[in-house]
Amino acid sequence: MKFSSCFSPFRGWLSPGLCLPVVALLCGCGTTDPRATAAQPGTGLREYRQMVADLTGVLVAARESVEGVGKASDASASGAYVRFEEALQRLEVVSVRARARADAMEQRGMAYFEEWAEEITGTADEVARRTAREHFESLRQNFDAVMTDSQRARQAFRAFLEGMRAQHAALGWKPAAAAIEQARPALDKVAREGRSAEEALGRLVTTLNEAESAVMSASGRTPQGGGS
Amino acid sequence: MKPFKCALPVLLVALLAWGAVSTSVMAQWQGASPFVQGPTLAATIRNAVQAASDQARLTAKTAADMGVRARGVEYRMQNFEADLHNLRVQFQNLSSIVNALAGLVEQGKSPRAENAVSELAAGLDIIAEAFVPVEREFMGEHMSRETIVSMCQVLDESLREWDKELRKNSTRLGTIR
Repeated sequence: MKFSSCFSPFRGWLSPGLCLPVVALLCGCGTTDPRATAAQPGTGLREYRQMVADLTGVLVAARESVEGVGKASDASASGAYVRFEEALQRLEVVSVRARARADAMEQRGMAYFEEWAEEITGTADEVARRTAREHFESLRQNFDAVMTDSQRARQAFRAFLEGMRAQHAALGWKPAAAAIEQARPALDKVAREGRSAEEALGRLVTTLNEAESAVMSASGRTPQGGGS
Repeated sequence: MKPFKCALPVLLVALLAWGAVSTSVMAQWQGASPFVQGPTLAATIRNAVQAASDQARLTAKTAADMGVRARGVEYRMQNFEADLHNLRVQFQNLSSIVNALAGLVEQGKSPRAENAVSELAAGLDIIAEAFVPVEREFMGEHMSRETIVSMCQVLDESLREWDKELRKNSTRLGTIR
């Protein structure tokens, strides 16, 4: 009733059919600008560390499956090879997030440093971000270290994944024990590449922990617990 | 009377602003937009994220269904060719939506949002590697059923993970208040 009396002169045409789009329009005008939401300091680093930790677990299982095929007897070769196939498939799926982050970081470089600045200042304002970037120039060493170790980890991981794929393509789906026997030297090489990738991911986690500490101290906070 | 008098200028300004934003966004699309234009850039980005999520789930389901069919003994080469073509079209549609989303996000000039969309695009490039073994066999002499099934499983699972990542990234993309 109140609504009706308030708008009584327009009762005829101020129908719900008109009101709803107008209200929706006005609500839409109040929605967030892409620049308006800033994350907590170190958020991006913690996310990346978690991705790397998730990937490391699957990588270890995959490398062990390669070793399993290499060491398998004729009787157990078939079972070991099924585990190898499953591990490769799991690795393909789980690695997407971390690989995508590493690829984007390499492509966009300094834009990730700007994201750190945005997190530290707690604002998405462009001027504040620029000021923070100048102020936090001391963080550049940490940033550069993250970029370098990320690139190394990506390359080491890529070598291992390509090695696994190549062995799978060569051996096919149900290889004979003799074919596996013949592939042993190549499988050993792939397993060594797996260990190198594990080490590279381990170094990257350490570097990410150090960078998080630096970002948190720059923002006057304490790190939220390091990852493995 | 009074409330409406106050609301009228606001309405006019809102309509003009809406028109200006819509025109600038629409100017990017030569053809049909893959998602509905919102009244603001943020609203259009939200629509694009939703469209990408819907398309990712549709593509994942297309891959899963293809995998189920490929296990059947009745599955023949002509079925495979039609399924692969359909799957490729769905995947391409998803890539197009993400490219459009990247164009929108670029307008916001936020490194955080641009980094997020860049990771999503890189993720799709990586997921697309799942097509390689099947296409290699297709070009060769022998086509293995297991390779098709494996591709479908990897695409299904990866795209569902990608969709989760897209939703997690909605804050970074500036789509959540």
